[in-house]
Amino acid sequence: MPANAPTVTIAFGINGSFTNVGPDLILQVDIRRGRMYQNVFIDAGTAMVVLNNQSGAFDPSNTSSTWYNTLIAGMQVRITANSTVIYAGYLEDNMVNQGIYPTVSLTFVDGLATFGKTIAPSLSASANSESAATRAGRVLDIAQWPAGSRSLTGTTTMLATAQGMSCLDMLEQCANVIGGRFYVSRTGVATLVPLANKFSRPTQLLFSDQGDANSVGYDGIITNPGTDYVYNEATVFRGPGVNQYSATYNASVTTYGLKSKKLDAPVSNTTSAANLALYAARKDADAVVLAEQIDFTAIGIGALATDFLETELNDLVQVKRLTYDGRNITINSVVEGMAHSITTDNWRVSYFTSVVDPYTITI
Amino acid sequence: MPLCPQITITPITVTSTGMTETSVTAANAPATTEQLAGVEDLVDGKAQIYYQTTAPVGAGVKENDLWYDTDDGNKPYVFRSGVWVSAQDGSIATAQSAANTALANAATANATGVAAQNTANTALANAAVADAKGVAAQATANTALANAATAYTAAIGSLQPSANTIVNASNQMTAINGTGITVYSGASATTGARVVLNSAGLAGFNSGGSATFSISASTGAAVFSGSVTGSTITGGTLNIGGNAIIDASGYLTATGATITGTITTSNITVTGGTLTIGSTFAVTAGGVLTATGATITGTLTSNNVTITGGTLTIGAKFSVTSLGVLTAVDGVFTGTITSTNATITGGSLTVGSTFSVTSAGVLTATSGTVGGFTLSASSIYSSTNLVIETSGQISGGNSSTIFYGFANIGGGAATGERLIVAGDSSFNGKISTITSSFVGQMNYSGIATGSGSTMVVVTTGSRVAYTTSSERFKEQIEYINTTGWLDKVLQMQPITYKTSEDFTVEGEPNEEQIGFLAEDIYDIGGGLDKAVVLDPLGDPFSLSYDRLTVFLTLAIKELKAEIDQLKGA
Repeated sequence: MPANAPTVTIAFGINGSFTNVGPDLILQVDIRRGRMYQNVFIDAGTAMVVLNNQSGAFDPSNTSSTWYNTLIAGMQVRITANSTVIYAGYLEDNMVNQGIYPTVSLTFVDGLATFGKTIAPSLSASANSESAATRAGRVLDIAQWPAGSRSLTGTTTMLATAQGMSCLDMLEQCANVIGGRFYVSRTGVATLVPLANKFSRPTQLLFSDQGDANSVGYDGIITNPGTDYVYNEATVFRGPGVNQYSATYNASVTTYGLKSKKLDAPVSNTTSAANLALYAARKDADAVVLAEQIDFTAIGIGALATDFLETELNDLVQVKRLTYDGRNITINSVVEGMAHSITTDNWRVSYFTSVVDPYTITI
Repeated sequence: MPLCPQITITPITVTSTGMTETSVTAANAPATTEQLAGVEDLVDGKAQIYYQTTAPVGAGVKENDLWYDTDDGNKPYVFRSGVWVSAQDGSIATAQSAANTALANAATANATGVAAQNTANTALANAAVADAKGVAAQATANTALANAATAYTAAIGSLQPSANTIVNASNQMTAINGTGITVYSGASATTGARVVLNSAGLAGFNSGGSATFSISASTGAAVFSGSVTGSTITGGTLNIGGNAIIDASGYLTATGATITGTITTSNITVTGGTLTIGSTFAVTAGGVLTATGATITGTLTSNNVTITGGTLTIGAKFSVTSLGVLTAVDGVFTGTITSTNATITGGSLTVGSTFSVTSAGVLTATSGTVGGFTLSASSIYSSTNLVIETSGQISGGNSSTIFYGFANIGGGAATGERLIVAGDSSFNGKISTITSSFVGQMNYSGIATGSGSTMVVVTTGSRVAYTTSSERFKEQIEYINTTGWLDKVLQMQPITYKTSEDFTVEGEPNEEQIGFLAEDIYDIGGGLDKAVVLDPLGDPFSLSYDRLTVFLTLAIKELKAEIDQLKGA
């Protein structure tokens, strides 16, 4: 692993206890969490770990290996850097390379993959008017997600669903009705946060191309004028057989034309549904320049290592840039996703971000 | 808190101002504003345009003329204030950069689109598979429904194969007819294993058609050939095979029954009969406990045990018979034995290793103390006087009755080391002394006249002071007139001798003596043997020299007579 970068450790969970993999055996670690663009479904977090397998220890068919019968689907993994967990997931695939330089490529996914694979049954009428947090807990129970790995907040009441869908879809509904977000944290905690949560997220890193104090130098950036992400009309789809609520922000329509989106949000209270439509139609109605992707290296990140490693989805980052024509601009961004590519001599990182919007409403 | 400055977001609450809360028709195409760099019209008729590799010079060159450097990519210059100033359009580079960015974005978007297309295709394929599975599932469901209908019809048919008959899931038939209700699994309702319920009662039959139980409806009498399991039977009498009967009063009568397992009770009373445990132990109603080869373990406690007849045996070493015979082999008594009258017949009573009494009354002590007397294997020691009661006596063997020191029998004067016998006393057997003085008269029951006679033995050098010869001591007196005594006297052989060492006293002189051998005189016989004293075994022991004078006198008389005859007298 890179000498000046945070120290990476990989531990496999066996029967509830984690055992570290020899650090010298780690050749490459690629982690992807979150989503590349806003307003799309959040993807399952993945991690691909390439290990030196000259000893054959990670060959699942090697009966003399201490890992025999443990490298099976569902085995837990915990990737840490400087003792901070940056990924937690479960083994999905194991590819053994028996070439001249034997390696093994282990692919892990986080809980979102489990939720996506689990089809939830239709909820009975007794589930009517339960809060988003209760609904999320019910869905996580269906997916048999451990109770100790949950952090669920959301008081908006919901209608009972009448159709079978995946647990992940139902969790998205929970996030939609509260104008918030659902994600699996870097430590493996299924997290549901309400709308107000976006006003309390910390700003973890400052990216600057001018050497500001306590800043990280970035070496790649993709900006966007924001017009691609404009939505000025929103329809809150509450479910079949009930009234739907729509709202349109006229000024934006005048400028950008009508940009509509549908929000799958079975809100039980009609006032809340109307407010949710107002919020959804307004929050992305303005085109604001954003940094879609920020590329940097973690080598030599020094004192900012803790902030870097603790950066979670939905946290804020700030980008300072001197434009080609000499203007200083500042872009406040929300971390929608991140990618780590760690090799023996480098640690490349990409943050995928969206624009910060200040809008709120009572739902 | 992170090290970098924190972004502060001031929330803006969305209101309905400027918003329509119903669906609205989308406006026309968005007004796209493109700010293009203005292009200055440099061509005004006065300006000259040059195409050459070098900068134009000369008087013809005037303000705002244009020059395209043909060996520098036609880079444009404008002549301002006497110098050629680059007129390259910066927007080209900007446009190029934007184009590159757009190209990269397009590539990314294309990749995303391709991925999305792939995902969509996969989803479509999955949907098709799911649809096919749904169709198959529907077909399966339809088949299952048809099968269920068929099964239902078959079930109804199998449930009631004929009139008045019902069959259950275990293929048991139930017939309801004139016999009553019969549940059976065989071929017929009247044969094989079945249960019949009618007004007569309830009856069961095995596969062979034999009755296994019956309960009479009219009397309630029940007969079971199998086992009856239950918890409480109230009233009446339970008769089990005639061998075990329990009546309503709780009386259990058992003949030849066997009880296995453990019987636990706080109070058992057996009235009449005998309680027999195994083949070795029995208690009769009369309280007679009989045990043969039984073993009692643990502690046996009783305030009063009486054993009549037989023998109480404890282990292999101790037993008491009903006659009171106590036998102990190598037994050990500890503690105190108390008895008011104990008799030991036969054997020996041994106390420790030093004291024993035989059944013959022989008291043996190798050591120990009786009263103030110390015992040893052959003596009694005492620092006080040994008192013999006036009615008792002391008996002993030839050399066992020896008193050392002072012995006072009868309370004589205790002076010096001697035996003082006061009053009239009798001595049976031999009195051996070394130097003794007899005061008063000593009577002897006889002299040495033959076997069994009492005698006084006088060793060499000793004397008896008196020999009785008075007529008052004699009766049946006759004078001897017989002859032949001279010949006999002439056969007497005088000898010289010394006393054998066994009969001498140490320190006393043993000088040569003269005399006869008692055996020689005894062998002559003819009356001379009467001068010989025999011992208790009948052997010659002593010779009464004083009585030889009688025979010498008779011999002298015969000799005188012969002399007188020879003289012619």
